[in-house]
Amino acid sequence: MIILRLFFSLFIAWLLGYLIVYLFDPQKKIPWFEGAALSFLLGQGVLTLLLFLLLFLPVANRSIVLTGLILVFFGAKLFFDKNKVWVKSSFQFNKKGLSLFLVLLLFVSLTLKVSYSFIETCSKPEYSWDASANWTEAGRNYFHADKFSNKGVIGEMKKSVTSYPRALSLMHYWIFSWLGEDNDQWSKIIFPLDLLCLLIIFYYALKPSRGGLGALAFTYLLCSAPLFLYHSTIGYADLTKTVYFSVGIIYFYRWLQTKQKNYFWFFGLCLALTTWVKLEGKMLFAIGFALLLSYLWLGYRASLRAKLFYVGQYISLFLIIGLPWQLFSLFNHLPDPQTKLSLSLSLFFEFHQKMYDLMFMEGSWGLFWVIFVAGLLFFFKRQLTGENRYLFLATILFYGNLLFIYLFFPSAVAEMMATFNRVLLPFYPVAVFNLGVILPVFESKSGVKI
Amino acid sequence: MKLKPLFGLVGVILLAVFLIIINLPEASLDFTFSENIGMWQTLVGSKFALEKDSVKFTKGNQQLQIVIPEMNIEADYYDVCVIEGVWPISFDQGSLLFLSPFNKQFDYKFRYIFETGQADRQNQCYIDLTTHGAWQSIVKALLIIPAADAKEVSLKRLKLVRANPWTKLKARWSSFIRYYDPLLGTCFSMASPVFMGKSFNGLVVPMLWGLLIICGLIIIVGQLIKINQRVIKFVAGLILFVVIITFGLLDLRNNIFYLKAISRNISLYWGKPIAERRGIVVGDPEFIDFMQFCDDNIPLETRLFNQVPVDIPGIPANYLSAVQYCANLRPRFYDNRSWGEEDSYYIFYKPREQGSWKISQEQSVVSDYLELKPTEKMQQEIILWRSSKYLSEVVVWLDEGISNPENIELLLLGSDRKTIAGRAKYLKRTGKQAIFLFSPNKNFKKGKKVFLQLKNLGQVPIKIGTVYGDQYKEGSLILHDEKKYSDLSFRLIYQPKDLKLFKRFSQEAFILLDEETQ
Repeated sequence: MIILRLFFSLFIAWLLGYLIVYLFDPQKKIPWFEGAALSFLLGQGVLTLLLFLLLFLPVANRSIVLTGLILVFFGAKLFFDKNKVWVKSSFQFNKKGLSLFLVLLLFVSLTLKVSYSFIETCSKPEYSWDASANWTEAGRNYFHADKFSNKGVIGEMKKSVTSYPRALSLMHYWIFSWLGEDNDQWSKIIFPLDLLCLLIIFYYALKPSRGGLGALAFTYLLCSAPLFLYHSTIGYADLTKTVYFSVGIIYFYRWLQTKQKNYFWFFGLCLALTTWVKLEGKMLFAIGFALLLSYLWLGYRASLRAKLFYVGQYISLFLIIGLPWQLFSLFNHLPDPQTKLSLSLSLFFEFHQKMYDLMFMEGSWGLFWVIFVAGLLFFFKRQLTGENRYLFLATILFYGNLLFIYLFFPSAVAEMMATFNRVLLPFYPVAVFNLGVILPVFESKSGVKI
Repeated sequence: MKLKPLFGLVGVILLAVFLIIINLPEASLDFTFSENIGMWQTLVGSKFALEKDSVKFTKGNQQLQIVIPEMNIEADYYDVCVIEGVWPISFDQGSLLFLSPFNKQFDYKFRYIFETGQADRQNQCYIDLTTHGAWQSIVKALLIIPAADAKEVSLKRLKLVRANPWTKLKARWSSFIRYYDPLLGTCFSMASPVFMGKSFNGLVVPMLWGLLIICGLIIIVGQLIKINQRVIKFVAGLILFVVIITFGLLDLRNNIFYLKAISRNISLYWGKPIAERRGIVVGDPEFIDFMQFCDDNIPLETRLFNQVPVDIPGIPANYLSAVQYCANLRPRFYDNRSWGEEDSYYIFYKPREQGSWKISQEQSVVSDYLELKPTEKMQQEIILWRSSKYLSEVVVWLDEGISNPENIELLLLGSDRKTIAGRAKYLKRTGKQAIFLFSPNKNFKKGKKVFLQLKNLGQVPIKIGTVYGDQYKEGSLILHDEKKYSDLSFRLIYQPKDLKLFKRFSQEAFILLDEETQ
């Protein structure tokens, strides 16, 4: 029974996401599987935002009210929708010889990794530091506050800090509401689901240029970093933030590649959602903004008005998604670290030395970063061609983001061991995607294309 | 030239070499538990029973440990240890400790960790003894901790082997693919796997850099003096091959790790109620039961004061206290945040000092040290948890070295930062903690905002421990009339007379009620 309830709570989130994807992609140009994956990601983010806004209305049984609204909208969509056929997803591979063998090998290994993520996550309750003491605990408190506390969920929410917007806690709360109990062992399933959605979107983004086998190989590469996979099992916000950021950047690239407006919206929505997951997301949103501006300035040939229109749309997404939490924390004087920026250039070398150790030597993903650096060096001409140069710019901007964090905050370098890998995490899928687009496609005489 | 016969010949030679290697003779020292009763010992409370060809050990109240005292092994001669037995939980973690010429007592620094294999089958656990530098000369005794989670284990034999290359390879491969449960710190950084006693990345990454530099040089030289493209392609292909092999090896290891993790999760967690799973994963089931007890007994809409110490042995610092405390209780008012008229309860778990009800108010994490120059003073804003008349000790953290606590003047000031409520006199230093005895001369009631002032009366700077402020902060730290981002790391110890026992869960776990708020 609990599984059915869980499934229903996730299905409603997915349904909301489906409506959003449909809103921005009425022609259903993206493949069904990709649309389904994106639906869950957007649904999860927007659902929690709606839940947050609903807290300010005198409404009881918020979960049921929200579910009702979503079902009504979905019914209306079914009634009025004249374009019911979604682009069919295809898993077409060369079904012969080595190609088929490689597909099977990659698929089985990928299934193992994803299965590990689901089983590791849902076998045990929340145990890790921030996940227990922050994200899940708050979700649990909202669930109980609904029943017991006279100050309600809003009262509990005022115990938060500014830097931790409540998207994830509200998602736990949403699932608990449907489960009827605060079962964090099951509510954690959102993290492997986020991972799965990222993998599907990643695969479909690379498929047009690399073919099915090549896209699968790079999806496999994405899943091969143990730290990244592990983060999909522990309930930290960093994984969700990473998924939104990397999906956003992938859609930015797809937008430039295809010039389809729907990709612009998905790019903007995903990056705006990073600010609703964690306040650090504002830096990631700013990276997206810088990428947008650079494209509009360098690559987009249109009137200034058309360019400003894009800028306005991008910013308005932040105002809708990110601003409510900022206002809530401002009006309720939520604790905010009194951070004083002070540039410490003396830490420049120490930062890079530690960065090298943490990226290449001490962690479990050193081998990937060597391959990434080699890819950048040996294929720099391809990197600086066409849309690829914006991915290079994203790399530079992300590096700038690291420099900003570690050179402007006095404590950050001392605490690098505990923070650096998590700060780097959002860039990892982007780096794998970057490799996927710049490495030349290998095609053998026997038809193996990778 | 036809290549197929050549490949066949190479294959046959490799197979022959392989067969020779695995059949090379090796010497071993066998210690069978069932045949050597009396030659090994267990801790008091543990039980054992003879089975067919093995001994079944059952854990008592303490950890299951088996000591083999009179081994006197020629350590240089043996390079692999094999422990054979049956474990009920998949991929549990065992330890083998040894008494070398460098340690007189068993010590975790002198140990090997091994993985116990799949549940309910006869497993052979391989340990590469050469990976520990102290395994040399004469090893007098061994201590086996056969499992971390399993309550019973059947051990058949322990075998020390002067191994042939094949057995050595098996031992090295076992350590490379060894499963371990994720630790709390794994979310920060996941260590590279160990290969031949060294970090895999440490071995491979420098080699890859070297290869890439060679490749880059060949490409550059190839541009300058026209080298045959086939040479460049061959070198690039060779490097790519090395990268794929290395990556494949690492990924194979990771996939085996994931399979083991799945098997362990099924074996350890599945089929158990969520509370029991929580106890296992937290590492202290009693704590989880106690939190449930607190949640059931303490009324809602009350204020809780966390008295769970941050340094419980066997648990990572502040894990139970800061992480698992609130996460296991329904929402109430915590600590000093937004004081009201609610009843106050103090939750004690494994208190530092037995038989006394000392209340500890602390933010004891130290993330940095702030320099206090001669004649300078710093003031930390604090909200008193109890009346200041009950305050008995003040602890601050000092950087070891030149910082002399006797040069610190420590005062408790009122909210005007002038009225002196009492002063603390230096008592002693324990590691980095400087302990001061407090003498009140004016009483401030609980919930009152006060300032703890530290002034450097000496001639040299003193480095005082601080913590970067966030949600745990008690108030602001003021230095030079300016609020700092960090806060003072401190502990205030009260000895209140107005608390009574509310409920007792066990000797070491109980709840106190503040009578003043009744």
